[in-house]
Amino acid sequence: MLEVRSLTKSFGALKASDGIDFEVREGETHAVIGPNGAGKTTFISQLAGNLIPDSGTVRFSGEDITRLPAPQRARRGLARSFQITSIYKEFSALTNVALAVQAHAGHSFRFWKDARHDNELVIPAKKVLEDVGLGHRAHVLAADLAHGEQRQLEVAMVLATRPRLMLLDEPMAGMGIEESQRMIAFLSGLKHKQTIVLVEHDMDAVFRLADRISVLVYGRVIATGSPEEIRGNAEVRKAYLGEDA
Amino acid sequence: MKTRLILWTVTVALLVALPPLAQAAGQPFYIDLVRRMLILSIAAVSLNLILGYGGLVSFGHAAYLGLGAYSVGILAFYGITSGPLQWLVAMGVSAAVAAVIGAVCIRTSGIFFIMITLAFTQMLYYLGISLEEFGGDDGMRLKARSQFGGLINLSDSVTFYYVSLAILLLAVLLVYRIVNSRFGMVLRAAKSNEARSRAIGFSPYPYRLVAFVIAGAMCGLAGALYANHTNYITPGLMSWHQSGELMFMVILGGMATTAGPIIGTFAFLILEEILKAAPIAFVKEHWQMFLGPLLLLSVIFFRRGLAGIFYRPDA
Amino acid sequence: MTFSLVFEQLLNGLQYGVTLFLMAAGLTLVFGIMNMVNLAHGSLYMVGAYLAVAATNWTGSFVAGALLALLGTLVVGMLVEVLALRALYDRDHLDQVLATFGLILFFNELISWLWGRAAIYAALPAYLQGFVPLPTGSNYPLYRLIVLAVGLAVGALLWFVVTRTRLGMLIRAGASNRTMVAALGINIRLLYTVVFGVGAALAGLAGLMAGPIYAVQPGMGEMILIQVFVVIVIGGIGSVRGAFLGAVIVGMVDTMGRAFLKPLLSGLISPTAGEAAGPALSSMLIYLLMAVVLALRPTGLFQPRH
Repeated sequence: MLEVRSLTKSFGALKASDGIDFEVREGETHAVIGPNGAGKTTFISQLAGNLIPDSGTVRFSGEDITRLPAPQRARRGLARSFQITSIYKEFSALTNVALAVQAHAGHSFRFWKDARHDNELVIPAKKVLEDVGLGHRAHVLAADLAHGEQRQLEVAMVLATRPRLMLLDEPMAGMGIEESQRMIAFLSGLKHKQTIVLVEHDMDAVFRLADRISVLVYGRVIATGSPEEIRGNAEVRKAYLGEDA
Repeated sequence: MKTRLILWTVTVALLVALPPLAQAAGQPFYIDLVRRMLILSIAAVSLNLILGYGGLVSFGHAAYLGLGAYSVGILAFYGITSGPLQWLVAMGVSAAVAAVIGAVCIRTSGIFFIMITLAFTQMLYYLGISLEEFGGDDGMRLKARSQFGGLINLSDSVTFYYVSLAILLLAVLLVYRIVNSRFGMVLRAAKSNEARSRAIGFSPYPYRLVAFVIAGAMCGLAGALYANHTNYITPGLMSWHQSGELMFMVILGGMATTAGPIIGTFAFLILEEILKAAPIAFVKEHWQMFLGPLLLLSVIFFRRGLAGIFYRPDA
Repeated sequence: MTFSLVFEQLLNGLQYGVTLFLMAAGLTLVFGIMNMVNLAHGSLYMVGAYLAVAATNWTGSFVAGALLALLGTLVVGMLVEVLALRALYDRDHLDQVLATFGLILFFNELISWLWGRAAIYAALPAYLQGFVPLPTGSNYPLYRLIVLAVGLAVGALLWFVVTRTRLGMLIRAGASNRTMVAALGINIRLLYTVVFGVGAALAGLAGLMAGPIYAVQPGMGEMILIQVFVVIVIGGIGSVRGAFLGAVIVGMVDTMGRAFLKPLLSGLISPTAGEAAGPALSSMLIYLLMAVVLALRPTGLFQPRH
């Protein structure tokens, strides 16, 4: 579904992405792991359209989207969540999700009808919120939500856009143990309904959720394989997992 | 919600009652005074759409005030005094210019956006000054007020007052519907978090541009009304000084609120009148020297604007 | 349109350009390092011009007057920074715009109160009133050449400081990453004050030198400030190099446009076209230029140097 070839991106003298080859099959959950500074967020940004690579290609369902701007990728079903929570702080949780629904519910050049009472937006939004477990917090201001709830909201917004491919950048960032477990359970539930690219540091989550794992070190993919293969890979252990894994 | 409705009803009732009250008290001058505030409130309402809700810090909004006024003035100069035609032209010209300026400016953001909206307005100002036929620097008199057949007579002070009030309320209603519509939500979302908006599939540019054009047209209408009010049109209407004052009215009143622009405009102009009528000659003569620091202090201390005192902004 | 006339206008354009540069350099540094929009920068230009006139009348010497004006502007600038601008560093640009707008109103009215609303005359001493023969045959005002020379010298000095000294390194670092500089333990407050002071001094210098050439009147700061904005938009924020090139371009285009557009139009199209469109178009020229530059490069021609 997603095919990346020789992706390269430099920032001055720093090669954040060094000829990355990567592919995602439909329906799989493909995790991307790597030590800090490996270039994971740079990689995700190039997939989502927040950064344009210096060279290389990104193909989505056969279409070359390498230089396509982010909004257009989102409209084609490529949705992204951010590592640092990026939601609409002044709006309620429901409105946050409703906006995501709106982005994929026809054109938005409608000037008169009140969007807050538009069932076409509100009903699907409520449903997504319930699915992620935030149904009871629908009318709370996003800024007033707990950190973990905000991360859930972030994922809810991605889901609300009815994506074909979800790019989740550290969805569990900053979450406590209980919240993480809940999120992992939720993401497991999504596994076969969605295609997911998951960037995570939480190894527990990675090994439980991933069908395949790619390991990124200094901007290069040093290994790709099933969780068992990666666990056993000596190079990976040396570079990243340390002696304990 | 209930409180807001009550406040609005009271305010509108007071505004409606003003002319007969003023006449009864033998002070018809207040009708003109408040009418000016009503007209400039329309301009402030239009600016609030793009500035308060859209986050576009347009330092050149007064341009449309001037364009609207000059449209009326120039048409009247050539003997075209039909109100509907003049006002439609005023709005049309403003919308067209807003489309062009917006197309260039909205591609930028932050400090750049502020500076270039200012620069373009200044360009129009210089254009206005250079038009010798229409008074150049000194401006021109309005040959005749906009005519509306026998229906509405703008030469009657009270009629004109009610026309202005009606248009203001219409403008307020329009902006209210717009900002809560799908279009308005995208605009507000883009202001709140642009990266997030792009990530879910919205390109802010077209929405901002359309909002910019709507605001320009509305301000152009305010300009047409203003020309009729003052009977005199000067390039000063397009100066950045005027733009700054408009921005002030919006901020002072409370951005992204429905009543904010009106509260801000009234507060600002009333303050101006108080200073200009001060018993101390020095204050009266150099009132701007006092207005300046007052504005400075209000920015430093009044973060939410005056409307914030009455109610919390909509979620 | 003789070559000597064109050359004269070229020099005028360059001289206006360096005046713009002096203003732009201060403003762009303050933008870049303190992320602060300061509309009152134009007021400092005005203060410089007025203080120069007053000080020259008081001391009887143009040079002494100039030095006092420079010092005075610096003091006024520091007062403004401490009393008003400090409260605005953390605020968003909109608040800064409005607050400094209030300052403009204040200063313009203050000057009107002290010196009246009409333009006043800034006299040149006899030894600066002369003309210099140009290689092209005509004579060019000595004073304008001096302004040009001073401007270029200051430009060279700024370039030296920014690229070769420790302070300059801090300035460049601050322009590209404010938080990092603060994290390194550099006294940000002091750096801000120094940068602002430099900016104020440059504005004052521009103002006091401009007095004898252009009109000294309330509101003179705003007229030039908007052109300075155009310079910065074209040149890029935070870049002194950009400010210089932008200023020269804007100065040239504006001056040459005003001088030659009308005769050009009259000659190429018709005298009526020149008469009708010439003055209007020439005053709009730099804004059209700005629009073109922005269409191609939305963030200006230069980024701050690393």
